[in-house]
Amino acid sequence: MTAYLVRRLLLVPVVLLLLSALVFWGIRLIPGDVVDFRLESSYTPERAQQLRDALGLNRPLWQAYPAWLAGALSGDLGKSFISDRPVTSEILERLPVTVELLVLSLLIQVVVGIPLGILAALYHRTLVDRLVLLGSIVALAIPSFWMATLVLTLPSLFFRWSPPFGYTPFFDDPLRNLYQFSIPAAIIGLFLTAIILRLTRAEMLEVLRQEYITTARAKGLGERVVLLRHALKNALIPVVTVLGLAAGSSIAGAVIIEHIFALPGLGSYGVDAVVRRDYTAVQGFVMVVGLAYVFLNLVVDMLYSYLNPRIKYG
Amino acid sequence: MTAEAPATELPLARAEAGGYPWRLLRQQWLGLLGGAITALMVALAVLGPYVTPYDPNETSTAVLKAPGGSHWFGTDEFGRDTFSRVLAGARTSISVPLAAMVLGVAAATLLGMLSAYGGGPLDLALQRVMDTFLSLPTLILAMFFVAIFGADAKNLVIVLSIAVVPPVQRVARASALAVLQQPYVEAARAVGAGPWRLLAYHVLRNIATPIVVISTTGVGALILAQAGLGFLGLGVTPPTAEWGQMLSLARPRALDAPWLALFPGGAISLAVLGFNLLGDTLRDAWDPRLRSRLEGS
Repeated sequence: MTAYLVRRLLLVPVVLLLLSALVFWGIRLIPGDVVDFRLESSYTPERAQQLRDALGLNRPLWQAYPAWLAGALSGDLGKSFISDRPVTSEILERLPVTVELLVLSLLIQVVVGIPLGILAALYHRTLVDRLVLLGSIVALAIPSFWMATLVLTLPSLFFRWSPPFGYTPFFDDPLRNLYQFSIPAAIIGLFLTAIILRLTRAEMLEVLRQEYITTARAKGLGERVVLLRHALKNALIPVVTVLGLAAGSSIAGAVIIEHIFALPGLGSYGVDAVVRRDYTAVQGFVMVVGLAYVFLNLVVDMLYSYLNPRIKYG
Repeated sequence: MTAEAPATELPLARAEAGGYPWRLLRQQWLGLLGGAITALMVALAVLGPYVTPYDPNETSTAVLKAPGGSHWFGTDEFGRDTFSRVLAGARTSISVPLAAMVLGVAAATLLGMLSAYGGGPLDLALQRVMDTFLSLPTLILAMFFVAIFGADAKNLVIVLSIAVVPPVQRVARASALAVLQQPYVEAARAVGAGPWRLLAYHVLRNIATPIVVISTTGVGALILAQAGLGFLGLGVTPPTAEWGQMLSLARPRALDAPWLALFPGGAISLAVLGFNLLGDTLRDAWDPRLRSRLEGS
């Protein structure tokens, strides 16, 4: 297992290096000259030259990439085309919003998904089970942006109440902040709650069939102990891996939901960057998301091999 | 997790199953429902623009009419018929993800087989490149490539198919590795089959089923991703009808004209539901062991 972990760790820098290459060369795949395209109406030779400098376009590529990479490694992702501010500090300002959104959303997924999954497994093949499964099938088909639109519309049509909009920093007013974040976080979590629910249910059913559960019951342990200590603990191991994936795909969810709820997070930054063709910001955004995603997956893999020492990696 | 272990069992498990998948499909009404919805969606993707009651892009004076007799799904702020636009929207919202899936799966199968057959440095290099693409969530990867290539229907197909390749080629590679160890491959090689014949004739046929199954399961996610791009304003350009974009245009008016948001969103959900149900059923039919794990029956 140690050999696997070492190999897994060694892969991280390789993948990140390749990602940086993708991000750097990707922008250079744009048909025509980025700069002409970017400036269109406001084209002046000086402005074009300035932008080429900023992107390292007037340097030979074998010089430009290492320079950009060295900058990125020391935390300098270049300056935004639009605001002319360092992309790194713009991203750092917006990171707390996204992190809070993801943490809250993950919390909702765990608190709702796991108990519902257990419930469905315990009432296997009853109405409860079928309703929970049906709900999860529907939840998997509803796009988050449709859900958000409905949540922002229907309550005000029927109850004259609309969900909170806008953003208050947590440390200014924690309660107001949580009130504003809870609904977007729940919408991001909906899809993944359904996945976690289904997996918890399936794993519980699988585990409850095992002989050690029969043994535990036979030796007279109470049903609570059997379910919580023996069954749940083992059933949750695969759920942990999905939680890692969930955190990753929640980033994609956050992109859309921040955009709708006007939350100034990393996701809405990325959307704005792509829409405005702010290429340095796009590069920075993709790099940061990739970095987060790679490390999340690493942590999950390690956690998984720690929780389940029987797993062998091929 | 052990990627190789289940893959080794694939050809055997399938051979024993025989006509089993089809019988199971008949018994699965949810799967049938999914199949029916999928068929409807595919039919709409082909015929949608030709069966609309109104021209989907034709404006009229009947502005923001609520759903009723002459306009089943109401009209938008330009007096365009929402029902016609939803039907016509299938052209982009369904065909683009489907085309992306076909293109992506074809590329992924080829890459996966080459990676497995070539082995060594080729395999190592190719897999690391795939890891790199996997280090971004699908939507973010798609956003990045839309930023580069821009978004028309053709580019969206390419962008989404790039997101399909890494996970599918993993399955293709793992299955191909298992098949390449089979005695019949060795036999084929012994009687002088070249690498292309070996891959096309002996390997491809035996890895086709898992690949078809995983592709069907993935279409729903692609429909969501494409609608998401449209919603963010990164999809096809107006006035071409597309469900995600229709939904985003409906948002400012959602309070006065909720039907504008209701129907395109419902269309997306219905399509995703159909493909998910069909995909789940195909997967269960192909691998009953997996079924007991996921459905617990």
